[in-house]
Amino acid sequence: MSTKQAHLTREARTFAGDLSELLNGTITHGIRISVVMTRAGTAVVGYEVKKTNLRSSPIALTTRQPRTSLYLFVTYTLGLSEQDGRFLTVTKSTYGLGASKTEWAFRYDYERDPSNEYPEAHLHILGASERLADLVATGRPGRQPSRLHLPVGGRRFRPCLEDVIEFCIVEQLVKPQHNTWKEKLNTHRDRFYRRQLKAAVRQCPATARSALEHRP
Amino acid sequence: MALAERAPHLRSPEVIDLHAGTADRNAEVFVLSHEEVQEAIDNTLARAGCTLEQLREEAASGDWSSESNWHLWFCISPFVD
Repeated sequence: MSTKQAHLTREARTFAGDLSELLNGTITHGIRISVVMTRAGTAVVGYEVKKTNLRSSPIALTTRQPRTSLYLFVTYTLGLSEQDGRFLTVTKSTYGLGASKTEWAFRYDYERDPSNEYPEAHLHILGASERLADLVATGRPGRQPSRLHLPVGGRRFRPCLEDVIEFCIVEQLVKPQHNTWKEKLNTHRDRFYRRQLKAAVRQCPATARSALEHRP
Repeated sequence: MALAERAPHLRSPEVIDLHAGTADRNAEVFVLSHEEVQEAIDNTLARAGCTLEQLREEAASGDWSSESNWHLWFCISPFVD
């Protein structure tokens, strides 16, 4: 294995390990997120992905009410960063919830540099919605409301997995698996925010400089 | 003492990653050859009872026959594009 390959493998392992730690520190127990990647650095990250299976499985959560079920869908794809091709970056992500293994209620999607005109980060409300159908009918009758790409903050300020986990707990859908869930979740979310902030500063250094100089 | 602490100026990305502070160091990472990727795609599609052509058509139209198909394409498309 080359040095570069070893580095990419370590990065992918760290990424998956962080996800496992986040999930098992909040709403799951004993979940292990894994990675399948090519030698060129293209990867899919999810639950139960392996050498013979590229599709991640839904994660069953412990619900508050008996005889109910709830599944968390989490998948990321990774690729080499644009800057120098030495680091892995998230190229796509999706996380959502559903009461069945095959039907999601909603999902947050992110796609870096999509080939369509929709926002990179967006929310899909899945299933029937009379009001959304009425809204869609004003422009493209017959189109499924679930195909609407509701914008959610763009690349830098998009919702993160931690937000969905927090939603599950504070809306009392699931029981947290640990008393320290909030601390664990905030630690991970702060890490995400800092990464995003660093990227935003790199993208707009003049704005960052003026903010530090207290200029409008 | 870790290398990163002894010689911070020598911190390579690898060293930084190794000291990033994550708990689960044993996440499985499967690194596949080109042939193994093709096998993985075939296996994944067979398990789903779906063909690549079907997924390509649905992706092109944006009209997915199921959320499962959408998710299947999400997972395998980086490896087939």
